[in-house]
Amino acid sequence: MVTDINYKSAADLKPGEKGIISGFTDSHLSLKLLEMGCLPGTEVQMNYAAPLGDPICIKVAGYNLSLRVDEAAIIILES
Amino acid sequence: MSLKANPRLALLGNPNSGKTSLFNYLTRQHQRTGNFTGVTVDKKIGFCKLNEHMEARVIDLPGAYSIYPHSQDELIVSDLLGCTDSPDYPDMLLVVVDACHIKRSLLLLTEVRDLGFPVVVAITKIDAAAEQGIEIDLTELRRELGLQLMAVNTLTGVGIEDLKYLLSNPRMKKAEPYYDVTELAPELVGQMRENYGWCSSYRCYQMACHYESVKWCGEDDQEFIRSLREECDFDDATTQGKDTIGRYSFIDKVISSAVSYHRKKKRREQFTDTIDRYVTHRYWGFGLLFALFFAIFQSIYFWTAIPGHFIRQGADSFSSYLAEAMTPSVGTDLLVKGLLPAAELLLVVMPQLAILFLCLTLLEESGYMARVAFLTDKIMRRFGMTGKCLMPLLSGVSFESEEICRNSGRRGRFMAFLLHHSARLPLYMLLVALFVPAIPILTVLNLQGIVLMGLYVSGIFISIGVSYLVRVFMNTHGIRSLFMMELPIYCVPTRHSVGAGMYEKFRHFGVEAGKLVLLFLICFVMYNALFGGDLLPVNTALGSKAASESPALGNIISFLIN
Repeated sequence: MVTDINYKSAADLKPGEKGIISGFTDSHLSLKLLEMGCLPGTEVQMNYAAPLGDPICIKVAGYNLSLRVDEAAIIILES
Repeated sequence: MSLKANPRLALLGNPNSGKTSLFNYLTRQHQRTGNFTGVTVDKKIGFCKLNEHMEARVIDLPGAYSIYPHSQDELIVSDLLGCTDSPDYPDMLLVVVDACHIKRSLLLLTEVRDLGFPVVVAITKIDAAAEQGIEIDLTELRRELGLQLMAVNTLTGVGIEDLKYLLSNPRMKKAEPYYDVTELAPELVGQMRENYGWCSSYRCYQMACHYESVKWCGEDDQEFIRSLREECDFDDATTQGKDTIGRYSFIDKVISSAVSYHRKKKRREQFTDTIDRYVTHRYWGFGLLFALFFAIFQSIYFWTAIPGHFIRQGADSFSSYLAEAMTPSVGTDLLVKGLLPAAELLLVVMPQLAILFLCLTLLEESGYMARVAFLTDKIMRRFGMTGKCLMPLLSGVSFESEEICRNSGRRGRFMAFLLHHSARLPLYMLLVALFVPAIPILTVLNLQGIVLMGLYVSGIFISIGVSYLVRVFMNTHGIRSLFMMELPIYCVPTRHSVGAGMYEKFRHFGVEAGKLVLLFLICFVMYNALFGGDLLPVNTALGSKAASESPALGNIISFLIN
């Protein structure tokens, strides 16, 4: 697990922007993300946010996954 | 294990993998729905004739991504697979693998196979996958997994007979686990095996992980496992991550030899993205949601105007015929002024209900309901729920809090009644048919549709509010639900899936709302028979006649009309 505070997370992506998953900050939440196909080394693309800004929709492993911003914030991206 | 004549078969798969369609296809005429032993959520059980001698009892489990429970639904799955004493403990599993999301689907497959169950695999959506440029070599996949496997199509029925053959001849051979968890916690797995005698190391490990949430565990077992975990210094959060990653590396190996990806222009995906741009638009998103439901409630009355007219005329002439033919007595009064209008009311409401159910099923099957959850999650969060909780409320089936309440004593059952939106819906319709005149507003809109939508929306708010209070005061802790969910690609609903969805809703209506509707109708009949029958549907000829005769009701109606 990375403890650096200055990492970029999946919640920081702008619509259309892509990133590669490098790890997670929360081991409990990461389990569910792993099961949904968010594995380290996988590419994620931010699609769009809901009208109220939360949750967001990302493209990962070939499908659209919606998740809350605080759930996306635990996904660390390669810089 | 020898072959039984009536094996118990559990159907497992990811959400939205075509699992329920397969269940409906397999058990076509032999469905029986009922409450599952010990489990709160409505479970579906059906029977499927495999050959002349064998009939399988099929259990349709809720969709799950993994047997590590992260939601109430997944808890049901891990409960059933963990509890060997349960009368529903399956003899074998039929795992549905969605070809479009083969990687994710295989995770669940490897987990349940490693628990030691005989597994047969049904691959669905293979045509859709080919369209997306995903090609699966079934022979290679069969060899890599070492499992019996068949591609099926629940629309055409291709592969179903072969699947039934496989199910009647399951391979019982013991095999090496795909991923051995022993290395993650050798001591723990060894001790668990010694104590419980399970040969699957994965079962030993899984039980040690979920001893607190799984029903199977008694107090003694909990105590034993708790001390064992301390002794072995076992931390399941890290091992679970390693387990999942280990499984995915096995799956990657399988996929690299059995699946090939051709980059293709994905038309359906692009179509979905385009629609989503409007559906989840900052300003139009909620407007569209409102407009859609507004249109549904308007169309209920628009489409039933003509059959409703005939029903009313028929009832009208029948009742005047009866009134003339029979001598006036209490019995005649009861019949003409009580039972007949009640029957008429029911006949008028049924087609309306059918149209509502049809529209809701179409929304569910097309994939729009998932977007509703996406749109409303932030609002629902304020009440301690997720957007997903709104889906069953909108579709008029019972939802999670309600189930929790129903299982927690008498006070809980009362709360469940308050939460019970699905049972109230037909009642709203009866009230609207009874009291709201079908007068046009702005020439095209219908007052009845507007009133019903108002009742429906406020009913949802009541349910949400009560559910919030329940959570605050009754301290009901479930599993912490995460929002993460797939936004599926839009698709045109098939006849079968719409039929099954509507059947399910009508069944629910019969079971849940039937009593309430009956009570309502009895009150209605009694009132009319005892008090001279001035309470009649306002939209009938009888009703308007009564309205002009009875000053009180007439005043209300004329007030409404003017």
